[in-house]
Amino acid sequence: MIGKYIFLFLIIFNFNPSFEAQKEVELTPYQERLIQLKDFRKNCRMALRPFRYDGSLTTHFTYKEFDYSKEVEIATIQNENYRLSFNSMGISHEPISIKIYDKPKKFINRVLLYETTDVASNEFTTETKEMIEKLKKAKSEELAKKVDISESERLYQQKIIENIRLKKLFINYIIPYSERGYKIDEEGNESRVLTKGSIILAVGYNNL
Amino acid sequence: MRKHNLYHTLIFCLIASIVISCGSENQPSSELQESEKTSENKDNHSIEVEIVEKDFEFMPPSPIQIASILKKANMNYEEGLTNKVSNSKQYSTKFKQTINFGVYACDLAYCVTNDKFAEASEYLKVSKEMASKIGLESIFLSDNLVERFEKNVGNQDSVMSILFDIQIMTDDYIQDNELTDLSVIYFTGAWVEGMNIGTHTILGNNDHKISVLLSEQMTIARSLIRGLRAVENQSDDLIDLTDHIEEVVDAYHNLWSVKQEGENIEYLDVELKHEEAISISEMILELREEITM
Repeated sequence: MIGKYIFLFLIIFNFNPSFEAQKEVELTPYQERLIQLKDFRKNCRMALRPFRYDGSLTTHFTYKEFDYSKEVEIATIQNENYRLSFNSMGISHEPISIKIYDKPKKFINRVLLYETTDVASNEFTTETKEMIEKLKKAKSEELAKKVDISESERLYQQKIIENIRLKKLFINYIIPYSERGYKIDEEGNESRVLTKGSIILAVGYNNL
Repeated sequence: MRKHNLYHTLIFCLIASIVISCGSENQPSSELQESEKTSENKDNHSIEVEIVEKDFEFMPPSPIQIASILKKANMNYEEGLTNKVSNSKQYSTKFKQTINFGVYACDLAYCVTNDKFAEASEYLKVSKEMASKIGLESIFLSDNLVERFEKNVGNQDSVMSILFDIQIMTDDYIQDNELTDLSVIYFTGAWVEGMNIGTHTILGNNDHKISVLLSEQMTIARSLIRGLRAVENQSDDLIDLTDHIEEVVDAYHNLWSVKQEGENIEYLDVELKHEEAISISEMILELREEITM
């Protein structure tokens, strides 16, 4: 008798249409966003292969009425080639630009190692091997311009340039300005709409 | 009798329907309000959500990478260098639990990279215990990680792959739940432990590779200090630890071998003199004692 009731309860529980429909509306836009970002992060990590995963970072930003940049520092401490995988599927508004430097913002003599524009709704990778070559070239040019150093000092500096390493990278996300948006609710109250975006970075290193 | 049964069945069906519909209506009421608030933005692809934006973002190397650096420096496994599993019972504050979660994560990776699976299994269990104390329990509950680990003991590739799964899930969980402050503290623990294992070896070995390893690790120290100072809840323990790390880092940058490289220190591996390495090692051992005791 009890078994019959349990059976009936399970049937009603499983086929109740309102319960099924409710399952679909349970997610808030915020939760949906988190699930989306999780998928993007997965793809971003996959693009690291065959490099070994080290970490990932999701940077969230808000478009403002002026251009600005957000800096992310990453440690590339091993003397190995690192791959950086970017996933900008979380940017559906104005595309951003990415610039990678050897030093943080406060240094005016920092070297630009990588640059790309129109970053939105796409995925791409880059590696530190190419960046080290750029850094060596920039440092050699800087040394060549120096006239007030001795020959021995020049040779020493050249040797340093040959063995140069990139232990840290400073990634600048340049976010373009966006017109201020407003919304008016049913009661006629006006409020500002903040437009946001997210970019994911995954880092991996050559493990051979 | 049959009629009586039919009444019972009908009454039961009615009650069951009411229970189910009440349950499904009550559950998402707060979420519906939230979606009303944000629905307009969603249509415009402008997501107005409660994601916190940080001014300072730093991605430290993972505990697994720290352990693999130790391995690449040809540092053989030495018993007794890792933090005792039994010490976990004395960590009563969230700060101590978080920082030692990092210490144990590094110890776990150190054991696995050196094929010490029995020890690794103990460190996995204590990591799980620490994780549950600091709100990361769901990471270890998913995918039967502990069971998978135990089934694969002896197979380094499989065990490493489980460690990577843990790392990925930890990273995801931290990002989804905006626990950056927690991650800075836990990574600091892993960093100190990596230095501790490295410096113990320096004290008995003059290999230049290990000296280089120290300089590699010191590269990120300033960023860690910046990250620790940016943690929102500045407890006395945290302030003391940050000051202590800063003391070690300043001492390192004042070493002759480091100073003579000037600006090039950012790009080069510095080989320390043996006595310089020893003086820094002693400071690191003190630092490590402070966090694990």
